[in-house]
Amino acid sequence: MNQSAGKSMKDEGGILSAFGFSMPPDEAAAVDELSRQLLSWSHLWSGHPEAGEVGSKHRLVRKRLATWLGRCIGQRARGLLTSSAEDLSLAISTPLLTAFLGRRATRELSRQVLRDL
Amino acid sequence: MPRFVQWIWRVCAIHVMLGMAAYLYYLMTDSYRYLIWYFWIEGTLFLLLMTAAESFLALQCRAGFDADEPMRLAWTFIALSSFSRFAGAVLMAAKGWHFTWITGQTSSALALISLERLARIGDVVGGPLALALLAAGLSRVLKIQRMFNVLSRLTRMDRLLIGLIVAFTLGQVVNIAQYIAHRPQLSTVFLWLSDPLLALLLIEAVLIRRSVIRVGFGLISQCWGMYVIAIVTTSAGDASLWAANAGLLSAPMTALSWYIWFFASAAFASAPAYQLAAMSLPSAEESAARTRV
Repeated sequence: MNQSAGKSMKDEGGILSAFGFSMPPDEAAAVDELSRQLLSWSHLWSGHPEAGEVGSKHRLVRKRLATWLGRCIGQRARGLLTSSAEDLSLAISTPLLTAFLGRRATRELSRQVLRDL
Repeated sequence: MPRFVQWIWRVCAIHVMLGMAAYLYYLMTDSYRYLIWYFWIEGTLFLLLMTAAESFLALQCRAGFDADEPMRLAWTFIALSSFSRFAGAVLMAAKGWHFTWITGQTSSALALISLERLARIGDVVGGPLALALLAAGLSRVLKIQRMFNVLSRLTRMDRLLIGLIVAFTLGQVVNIAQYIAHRPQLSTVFLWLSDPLLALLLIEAVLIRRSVIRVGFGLISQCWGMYVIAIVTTSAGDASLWAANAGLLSAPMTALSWYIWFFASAAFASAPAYQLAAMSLPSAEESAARTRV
């Protein structure tokens, strides 16, 4: 790593620059947006909203997931996973869905649940 | 109801309606003419169509699971069971159609003997072998259901039913042990296994029925529910054959009982159709969403 790269790392302080990569500002913004989106999907997946996060997205995920569980497995399938409707998440329902629908169908189903979110 | 399931039951309804016309003709004239024609030609074609559809659908379900997924093995057994039923139907149709249309035209008595032997093999392949493979597949399903706590506790009625089935099976096993002393043909011995295997399937059906009640009627639970219907109708068909042989059924009732097999084969074909509908539903929604955009 040369001196200019070390300076860039000091200036930007990001992971990519730590490995000697420097990015134009618009690309850095795109990466930031992507990492924010990934974090948001991760929270939606686990069903644990971060502080200050909008709860409507979580409600929508739970509603969609309950509908898919009802259509594919059975209306009372949610009760096998959790006693409270509030705790329903992709993380806890994925093993059941994968067992009975298969990995590929479950992946597609998860995509449907997280669509436009 | 998924499109494929609708198609199966529409074909079954049309087929049975035609059969009812033949049955009414028999009741009015006491002639078996159209009834024989219906069961040997149309009935055989229907069974071939249903077992072929069942095999194709079960194979598609199996392909939906990756090699390391537990349900893959369950669907492998179920698909093999479907193929056995199809192969059995083909072998029996070969014999039935040969005797109907070609008797007297064949120059070789050996050909008839071979067909007779093939039909015996067909009986075994489409009967006990198919039942054993289905029992293996469903026991795998039950194991997976137990892992996910899908199986609920049995009610007193369920336990009573299972107790009756076990008692009946033990009685059958004692009978079989007595008959084996008379050195029967190997195919006959295999055919005797049908009743114990059906009893095992009935026990599995009771457990699966409980799980269906527990999770409600989604596509997957309707798939297993269809297997319960198929097993129960197969047992009813088997019982009616026994009752007819024992002279407990009148001739019109015996003829009517033959229709049970069509419902059993339609139920067997519907089960993988439900599973396939559940597996393809998410991607179907995705395609529909893309079309809307």
